[in-house]
Amino acid sequence: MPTAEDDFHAFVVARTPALSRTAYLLTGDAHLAEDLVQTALFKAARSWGRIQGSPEAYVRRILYTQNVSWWRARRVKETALGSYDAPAASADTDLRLTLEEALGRLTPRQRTVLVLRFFEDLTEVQAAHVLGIGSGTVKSITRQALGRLRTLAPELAELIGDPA
Amino acid sequence: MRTESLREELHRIGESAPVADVPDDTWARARRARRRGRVLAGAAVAVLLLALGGVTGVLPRPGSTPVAGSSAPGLPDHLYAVPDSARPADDLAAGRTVAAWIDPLHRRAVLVGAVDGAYHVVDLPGMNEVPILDEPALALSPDGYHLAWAFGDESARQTGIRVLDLRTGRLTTAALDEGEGVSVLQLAFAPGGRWLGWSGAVLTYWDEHGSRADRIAVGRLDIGTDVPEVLRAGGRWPDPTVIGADDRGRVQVLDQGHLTTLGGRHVSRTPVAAGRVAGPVVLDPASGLLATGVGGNGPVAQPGPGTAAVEVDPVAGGARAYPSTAAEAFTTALAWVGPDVLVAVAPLEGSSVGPEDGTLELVGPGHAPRVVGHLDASVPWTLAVASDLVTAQHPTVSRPEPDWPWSDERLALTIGLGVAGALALLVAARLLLRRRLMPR
Repeated sequence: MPTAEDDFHAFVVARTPALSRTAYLLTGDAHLAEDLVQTALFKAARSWGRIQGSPEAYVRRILYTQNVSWWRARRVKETALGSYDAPAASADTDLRLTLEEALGRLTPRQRTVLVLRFFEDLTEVQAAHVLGIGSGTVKSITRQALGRLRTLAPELAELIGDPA
Repeated sequence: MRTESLREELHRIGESAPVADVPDDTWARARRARRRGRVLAGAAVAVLLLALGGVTGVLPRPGSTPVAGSSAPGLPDHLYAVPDSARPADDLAAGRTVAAWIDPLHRRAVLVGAVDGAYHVVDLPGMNEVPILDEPALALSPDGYHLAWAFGDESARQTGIRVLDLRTGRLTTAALDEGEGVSVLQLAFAPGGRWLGWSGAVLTYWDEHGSRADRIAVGRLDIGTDVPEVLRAGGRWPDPTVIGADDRGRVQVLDQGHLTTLGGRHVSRTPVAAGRVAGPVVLDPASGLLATGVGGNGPVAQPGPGTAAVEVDPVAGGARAYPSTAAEAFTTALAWVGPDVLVAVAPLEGSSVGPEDGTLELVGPGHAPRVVGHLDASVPWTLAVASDLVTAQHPTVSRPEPDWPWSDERLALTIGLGVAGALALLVAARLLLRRRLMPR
């Protein structure tokens, strides 16, 4: 009979690639994504026996919330520094931003909502439940995020669609 | 709106992500951490019971507890998450405030009343237009009567500091014109509440999409005026960082591992244990000691499990770590309370699905960490606290849970049920009337 440890290891083997994809989209950085996945799995292992329902939902929720937490902790040290060198879009009209680069210029909550809505394919209500906010807030953040992508990278309009 | 292409592109990016390397000992480390947490929790309970047993005999009266009566101003022993249904108030005169934070999801300021524990949600003018930072600096005066925050106004091309008199709602705007403006990163009130020290990034360019800065400036503001002074404008990122101000208008900063005082006759540079001080720092004006929380960017294990705060003596150069009740946590030093430090602790242990709730703890020499309050998960542990209202005798006070306004969904449901009930009554009355009027 498989033990809890066996179950955990089987889960890690099966789901780490998918979790890595989500973590990479959330952070935009391979190292941070790896930290995020490791942290989420560590926390899941610690609470493995108490997880009710799907472990994957539990781990994914840690990914989303932990990323925002790290961002809060990093914000003084890194966010401002990173922003110093980040050229403004209007000053670099010749620069064609990829979606990946443009995502990096969104706030973590905007990026998280976009990942939930368009990568995880959650509805507004489901995304709101995962993040512990109202569905109206999810809707407005989605609108802001798409609007910001359009502003940051007009060349992506084809990809994102028009607001109309 | 077409979003299929966006979906496809996101999946393409996701597919390019490297698969995370999960250490083989994750399970073993997690179980060890869990056991450590249990042992620590057991030890904390044992210490608490022993302390209670020892103290009971010397208490002045049986009813005396660590929490104050309801009429005294103080920090509530439970800080609640504000629901979506709480709408921002138009009136900024929230009254004396004991705790303040910025709701990171809604970008609204939450102010907790010192006397009644009432919650006031407000949109602070210009708070959301600060270039560079997504979450602007916020500071509460020690007496809880003034709130200061970083502001930006893109249309007016203005940046700086706004100070709100919480009793009257009077707003003072202190514009910072250095460079193309200054994105204020840190704010610290002097103990008397008159002087406000600040540090910020001097911008060379900013608009709604992005910004650049080339140096750090430090200054002070007499909150009775709207004219900030720049004391130094040539710092290199990330220093200097303002950590305090005194009642003579001098500003204490951490700069390249040194504690420096600006604004007085002399500039003193006192070595501070390098590498020990990171993140928000609180300065005890009485003892000159510094305290800082732990955690920050990086994996779970940084810096040391179970640490709540690190105390640094900038004169002697020593440092000591005080434990927390949590096995591992992000923590923020909020205020000095006598020889102790009030710390917000956000545990890293996943005790339930979703973000974890945190605690307010008093840590210090000669005693085990003391939990004095509870933080709901969405209350940022970087909250600002009116330090005068937190005392060793009464670190927190008991307050009833706020009576939150109804959500739109609940209001709509109530109205709908009310209307349906009224219609049912009308139909029933009509049927009854018809039956009575019908010939038998």
